[in-house]
Amino acid sequence: MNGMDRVLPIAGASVRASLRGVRLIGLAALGSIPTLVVLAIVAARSPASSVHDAAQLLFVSLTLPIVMTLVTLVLGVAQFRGEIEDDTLAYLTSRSVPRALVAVGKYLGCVAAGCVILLPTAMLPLAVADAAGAGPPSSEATIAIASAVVLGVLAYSAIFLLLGLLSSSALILGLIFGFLWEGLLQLLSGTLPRLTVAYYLHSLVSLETPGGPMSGYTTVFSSGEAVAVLLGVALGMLLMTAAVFRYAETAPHRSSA
Amino acid sequence: MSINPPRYAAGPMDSVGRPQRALAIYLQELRVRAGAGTWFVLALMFGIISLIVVLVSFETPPSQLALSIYFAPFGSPAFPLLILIVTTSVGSGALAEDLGNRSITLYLSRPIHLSDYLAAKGAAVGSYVALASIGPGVVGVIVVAALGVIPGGLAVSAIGAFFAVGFVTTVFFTGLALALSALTNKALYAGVGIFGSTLAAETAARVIGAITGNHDIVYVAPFYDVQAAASGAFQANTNLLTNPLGSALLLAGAGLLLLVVVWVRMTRVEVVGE
Amino acid sequence: MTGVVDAQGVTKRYGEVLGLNGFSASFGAGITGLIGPNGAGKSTLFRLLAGQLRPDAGSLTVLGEPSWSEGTFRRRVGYCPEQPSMYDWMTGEEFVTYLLRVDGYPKSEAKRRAAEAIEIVGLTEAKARRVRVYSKGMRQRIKIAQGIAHKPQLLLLDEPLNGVDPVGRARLIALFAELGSSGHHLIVSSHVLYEVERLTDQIVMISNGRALAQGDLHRIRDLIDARPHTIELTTPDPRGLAKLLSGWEHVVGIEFVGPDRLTVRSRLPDAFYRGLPELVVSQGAEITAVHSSDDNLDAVFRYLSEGIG
Repeated sequence: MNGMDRVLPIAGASVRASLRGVRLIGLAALGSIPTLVVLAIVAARSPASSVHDAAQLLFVSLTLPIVMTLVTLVLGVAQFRGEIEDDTLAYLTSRSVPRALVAVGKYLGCVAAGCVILLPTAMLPLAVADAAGAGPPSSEATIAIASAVVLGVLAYSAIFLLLGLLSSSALILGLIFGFLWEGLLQLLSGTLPRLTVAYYLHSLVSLETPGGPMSGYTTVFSSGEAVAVLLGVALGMLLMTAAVFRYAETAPHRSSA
Repeated sequence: MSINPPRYAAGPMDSVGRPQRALAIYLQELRVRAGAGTWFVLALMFGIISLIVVLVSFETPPSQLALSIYFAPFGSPAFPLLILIVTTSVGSGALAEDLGNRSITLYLSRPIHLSDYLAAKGAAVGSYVALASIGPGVVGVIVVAALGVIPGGLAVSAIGAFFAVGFVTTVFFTGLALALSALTNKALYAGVGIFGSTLAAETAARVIGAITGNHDIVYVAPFYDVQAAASGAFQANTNLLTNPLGSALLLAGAGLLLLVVVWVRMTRVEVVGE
Repeated sequence: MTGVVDAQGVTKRYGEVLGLNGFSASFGAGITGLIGPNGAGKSTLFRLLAGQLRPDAGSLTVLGEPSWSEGTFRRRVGYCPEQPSMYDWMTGEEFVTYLLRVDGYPKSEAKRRAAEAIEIVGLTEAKARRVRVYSKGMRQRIKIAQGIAHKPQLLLLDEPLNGVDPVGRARLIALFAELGSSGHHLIVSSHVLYEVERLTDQIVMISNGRALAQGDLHRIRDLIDARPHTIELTTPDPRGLAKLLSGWEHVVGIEFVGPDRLTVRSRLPDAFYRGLPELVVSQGAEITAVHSSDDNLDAVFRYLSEGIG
């Protein structure tokens, strides 16, 4: 019996729990916004090149900073916080499965669910632009966008997973992190923007798509370094989550005794 | 063990009026929403926005002091994000939590009207949103006026303008928060909905406007409208494309429409327990 | 101590509130009832045993292992929590199978064991339905199914009869008795004494986070009976009634508490209640109400608390 035999059912259940009912409808609605915007631009009979630019511009101005943050926030926070509040985590913590494996399973489920929502969110606008005559995106742009989505989901999910475990105000803390920290620090000069995940995502996309509307982001890192930092953040946060969960009490609030 | 039947006495019941009952819900809701997170964001809001007001007052030469300098907070990217976080913090759970834990059945099984309940909830959420959208600017102006940095007349005008812009901001975001909170029984979803709908509308409208050249679309962007309304109230020269009064009316109208949506939704809600 | 569960001075705080306050008890083999009023600390103890909470002080061992630890010993423990929440979006079968797979059972084995456990709790017909649509009793039964599916040595059942209809109760009590007689150890909590009485003689009584008494139920009953019971009588002639009752040997005190009421303290409540109708019929005593504030669990706990304190 190896660890993956236990992790996979947890990950599978986590994907199913994440992508159902109202939550799925809400996340799908959120994810459809960039595509709807491109469709609106197509409907306004804009030139094909404008549609192409709009699709890529939306990725860096809407999909990455807003849709991705919100989708991973919902999915990440719900993994532990949702179960703590619903008082269902006891079913897992009372079994023989090591808690670290529970954390890994939930993380993998969260990442898988995030990718299911966000890869189409990122790719469909490009497909719509292509269908509208703007031509397919370059393979570099496609790879850069897909990589940014996966790496962003890996990093943000790990952060929000930890927040959900640590705090009952995870939503507010997540919003403060995702928008105030990530958004405002990016506007500052100097090295402060490097303290955001978004910096490395924008660096990656900008470096891999020179000359397009997604390029021009000022960065001092190479693509490889950006990928390494993002993977490091994801791994570091996951390890921290596993360590915290190992010693965390998981009752929802004061027990009814 | 008791072998005598219970006796009940039906005496006259003293009952306070509807306003007092709604007030009780309002005060309770204020207490419930006054969490550490809410106060943290409010403190951040007062810190940042009041500081901007104080700084622009000091940095502007006395001869150039005018109402328009107080448009500055609305041009700051911190303002929309902080307003959204306050709205989410106080509004996302206002109805969703009552629906989720079924305490709404306890409320509505009492002799109160749904309208009283909703008015009290709306007033509580609105109080915090108003505190966030009006308070920091007003405090900043009072501070600089007290220090003698700006004349009293200018201070009064600035306070009036902050109230005007804050009012339409409050109506819109209170309506939005309650509408999304009424649609789900999880505060998390409502909170994400508040953020997602506002920022997605904002970004989408601006991108569509820029690409298609159709500038009317930016009326759909809530914070663009707040900025436009503020530019009118503070008589600031900006490059904003919408009519200030139109933007203000749109915000207030949309807010009221959302409150109607809340009412309609709540009259149809069914709470099913185990 | 070498019990199935040993608690020594276990304290658990929730901020300023004490969930458990120096709880010490040893739960032996077979079925043990954990009896206590609501808020006594039963669920806190179960959450500690299930590894959900960490004791602030004292030692708590489950099958010889510290409760606040993870490991394979948890495979020998089944836990049925009190709260009704579950993964509502799963079917009953998926729910039990999922938890078995998390425990490390291969898929086919997990399915087989889940089906077996569901059969035992009598939910086979409803196993393909989502837990969301289950009644309260069905939810209790599926919770028990997940608790017994891996055939644990020790089964922790927190208020398992809550919300179950009478037929379901009888069925579950029979099931617990069967599990107990087949070598499983069960700790069953309840705030209803008679429920546990039907299951076992071994009980631990808990109140205000402390173990008040432990051992054979009949011995504890004797302990309780050794103290006078208080019975309140309503009558239009309290003094006349008092005169009649004062002749009874087991009546050790009479107090007038109102113009038409008196309280009587009797060392033998059974004899008192047996004699009361006779008093009305043969002596013509007029009694309009009898109320015993002692005839409930709270009063039992009060007696024991006073005895300890």
